[in-house]
Amino acid sequence: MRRTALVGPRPRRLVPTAIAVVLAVGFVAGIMIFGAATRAALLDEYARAARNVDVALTAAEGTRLPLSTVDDVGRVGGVTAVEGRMAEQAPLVDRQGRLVTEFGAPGHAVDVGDHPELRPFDLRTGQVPQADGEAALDARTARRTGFRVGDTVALVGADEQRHEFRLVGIVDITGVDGGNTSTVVLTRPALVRLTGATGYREVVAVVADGTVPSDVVSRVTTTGKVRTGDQLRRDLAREAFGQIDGLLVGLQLFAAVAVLVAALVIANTFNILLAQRMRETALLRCVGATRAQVFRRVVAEAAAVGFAGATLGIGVGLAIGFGLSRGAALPGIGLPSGRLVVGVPPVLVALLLGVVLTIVSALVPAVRATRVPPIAALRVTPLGGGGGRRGRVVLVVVAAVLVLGGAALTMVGLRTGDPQTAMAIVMAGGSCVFLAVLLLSPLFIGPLVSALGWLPGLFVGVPVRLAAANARRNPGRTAATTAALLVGVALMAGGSTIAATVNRTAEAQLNLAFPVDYLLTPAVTSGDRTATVPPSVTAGLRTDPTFELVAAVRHDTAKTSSGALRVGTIDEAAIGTAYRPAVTAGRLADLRPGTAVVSSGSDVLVGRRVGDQLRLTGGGGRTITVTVAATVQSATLVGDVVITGADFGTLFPAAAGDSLVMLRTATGVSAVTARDRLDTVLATHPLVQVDDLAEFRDARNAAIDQIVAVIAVLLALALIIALVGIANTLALSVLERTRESALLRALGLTRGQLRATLLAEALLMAAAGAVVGVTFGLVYGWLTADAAFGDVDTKVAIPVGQLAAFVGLAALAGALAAVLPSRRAANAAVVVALAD
Amino acid sequence: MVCLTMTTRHPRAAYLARMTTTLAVEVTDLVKVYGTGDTTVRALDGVGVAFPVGEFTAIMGPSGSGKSTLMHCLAGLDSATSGSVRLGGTELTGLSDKALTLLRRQRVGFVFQSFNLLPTLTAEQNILLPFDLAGRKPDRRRLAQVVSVLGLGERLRHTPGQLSGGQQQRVACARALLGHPDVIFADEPTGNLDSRTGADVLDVLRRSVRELGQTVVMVTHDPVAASYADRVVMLADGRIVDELRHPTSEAVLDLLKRLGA
Repeated sequence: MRRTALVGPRPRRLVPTAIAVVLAVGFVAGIMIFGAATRAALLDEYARAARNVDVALTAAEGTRLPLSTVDDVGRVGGVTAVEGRMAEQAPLVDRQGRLVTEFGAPGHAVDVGDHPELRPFDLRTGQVPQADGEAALDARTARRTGFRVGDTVALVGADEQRHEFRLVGIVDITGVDGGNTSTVVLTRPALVRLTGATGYREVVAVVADGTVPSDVVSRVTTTGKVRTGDQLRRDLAREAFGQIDGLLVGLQLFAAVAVLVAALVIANTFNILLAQRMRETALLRCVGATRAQVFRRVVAEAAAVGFAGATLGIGVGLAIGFGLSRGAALPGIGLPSGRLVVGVPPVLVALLLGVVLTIVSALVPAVRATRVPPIAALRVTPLGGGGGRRGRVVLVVVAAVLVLGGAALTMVGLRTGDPQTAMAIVMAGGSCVFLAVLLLSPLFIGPLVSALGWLPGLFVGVPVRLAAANARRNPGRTAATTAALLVGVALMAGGSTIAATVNRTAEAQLNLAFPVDYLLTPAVTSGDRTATVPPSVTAGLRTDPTFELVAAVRHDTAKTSSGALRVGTIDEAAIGTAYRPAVTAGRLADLRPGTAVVSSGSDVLVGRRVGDQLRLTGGGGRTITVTVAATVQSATLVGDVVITGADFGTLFPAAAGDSLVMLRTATGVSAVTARDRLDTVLATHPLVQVDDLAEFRDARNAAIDQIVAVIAVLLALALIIALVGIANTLALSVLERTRESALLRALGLTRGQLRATLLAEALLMAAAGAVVGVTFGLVYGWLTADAAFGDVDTKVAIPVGQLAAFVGLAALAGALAAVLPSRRAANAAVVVALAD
Repeated sequence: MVCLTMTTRHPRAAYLARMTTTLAVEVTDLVKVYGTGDTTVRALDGVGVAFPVGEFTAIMGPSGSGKSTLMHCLAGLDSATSGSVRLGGTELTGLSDKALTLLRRQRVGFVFQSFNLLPTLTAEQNILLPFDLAGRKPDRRRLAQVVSVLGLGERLRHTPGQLSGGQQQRVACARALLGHPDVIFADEPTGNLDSRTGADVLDVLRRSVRELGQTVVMVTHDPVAASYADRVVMLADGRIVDELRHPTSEAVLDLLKRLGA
């Protein structure tokens, strides 16, 4: 038995199954290989800070270890070397004189240290700073800004003035706090002079051979945290993996989709194969094969194909891992790329996945094969397929339950306050409905294909009508074929609808609330004092004719009975112009001393209505009570609660300077002129960050497009597997219909028409999958986005271009899938086929 | 078309006319060789035969005599190795696949032994298929006539799965007849039928010749089926070996016995 299974009657027919396995396994293995390599690279990078360290003292958040700590630790028995590490905020200024920031955060300066073996960085080119006027820069920032060894760089000091240094080296170093912010290495005296540092962020020590680090840890007394080098390394590793684990989870989701689609394709292939082999199976049963033997034969065949596919899949996985690693090294993500190594785990997982996936997918067809009665060998016409009436009723009932449950979940999700929970619930509801759609697709796919074929049928004639009839012939098979495509298209359409809707809604909110061109914010928000835009800057801009609107915002945190929230105030002149939120009740014009405009989107303020009293406690325990004059839809940059400047002064008497300044360019002034003017005004205040809203919008749009593109590329893999599925179904159907095709050819169907028939069949199947997929993706994409925005008025955006592209992609997949089968069918000799 | 000229008064003149101008199909020196080298099989070895318009001819012969190959070559389904096939005045040798396909569509009708109909189409759609393929409109009056002659009026909306074997063959006959082709080729049309329904189908073919002036060429190995024809052409080892006019089943059987089949 095993021999017949392995040799198989026609192994070529299993090639598409193998391809589906190769791709699914390749994706999974590729992600594992990429994950392992990137984790190793991240670990290497983070490990620099813990190299040779046996004991580490870390200052508590916002504090520093006193300079005396180094001597204190040095006196503990067993310690052979101690190093104090300073790290202070020291924003770098780029060649254009603007601050170098990463998501608004400026960079740091660290000191070079006394012990080379305890340095947290590696020199890449040049040398380590030795004189006070020398500096080294991290490689990532050097690449971004174009600074090279020999250049002069400027850092903004604690005195808010620029200080110049000569760049002598480029180093590999992880940003302070684990981010990708710029890091400059200085000598310790230079660092202290620049930043006014009074202590260390971290003190590390080496202990003598034979001394147990944990003993030393227990003998150190400090205000910070004490860890052994091993504990430090473990913590750093956890921090490192945090950077990539989210990405890996996302990739694994895509891999799961690929595996699901592959399973659909494999199950469909085996169903068709076994249907075609029914007489053969019946013959086997006639000559004495038991049901168990028939079952084992199919399973063994599946295992062999799965194993072969998985073996090839490992190779594909290596390629995918390489591609991912290249992609992750792009500036947008900026992960270090490590050396790709195919370890034992990916190989084992790949082989296991390939074999298990194929066997599990082939299980139902295999069980069905055992039910073929021996008498079928003697029948001329094959048995009609079909689950029977009862099966259909069960199907409809299960689907109905799923639809109702899914709809209920969706409704609940849309009413849930917390956006994350709401999205999750809506997505769960969507999954239920999607499952129902898949279950029911055998029932509606036929009529859908007919409907899609109706119009082209009028023009193209027989081929399309024949194709529609063929696609309807075995709805179960057609449904299973399109399902594979449907999954990918639905996810793509959903993803792009969410992205487009989020983008448009955010844009609308932004425009609604802030019809301005620039936002000025303080670049540095250091621990104790709230940083502000200096009043002189605001005053200077107010008199500048370049800007027709200069609106200063002050905000701070106040307490209420139900929690803390942000209280702000904005120039009265800006209300209705620069500050223009969506009002849900009351009037903005009613804002006067003693009243407030509150955001109904804030958790703390839920249920507050116009006329309600609100008691606010500000800095130094000062308290005011305000009456709600108006409610607005969402929290804005001004604050959850907006009060007049006078009330703000009462509540926060210590406040100086503005938290935020909004600018609108006067009509007729070009963007370049305005920005130049702004840069000139701010030249003496390098710590003021400028957000160019046009730039910001462009950047955000680009980022969202990038996300959509990445999702599309990843799901394209599912589409490729689905393509294999369509080609497969079509090829096997062609085989089944050899005599039919021959009859048509005898009756006068030209080769071209026969090819057109098969092409039309593939296109109709693809179109059916695409139509259902896009419809579903659109509806649930919108619902998910709606849930994500909660109270905010969601602006539905239909990404027509992208959706059309996905439908086009699906159609292309269908057309490609039809190439080989149609060529084979058209080239068959009529006479031979008739005699078959 | 051509059959309308059959209204000649003088039988001798009609015979002469057939001999000279109104041959539906004519083959000369037809050779068909399969395979190469040692495995060469000469399926047709210099066949020459003519099929006059308005005649019902049966091609008979033992298994492997080449009768199916001959029919395939006559119908433009297969190409001969050498020799000539003229169908209604058109030389088939050397025609492209496309030209052959169009010729079959417009000028040839087929009734096969089994699997004559597309399972996805209704009886009516099957009958109209050659017209659909050509993008032509059928003559509705002729359709009604053919359908009523064949007794298919009630069955037009049924799919092949809902029809009996005899009904399926009659639908195939209707399809072949509708376009009034130069010639209808029937390949063992009764092979899968019981004797009574088989007789029905043969009667339809004979009536189409008598009443509609159709030309029919039928391949069969059944002497009873052959007895419906006007003439039997006997094939053995790829050559025409004998011919029988106005055959009876006994005469055909005798001839077959003499050939040692």
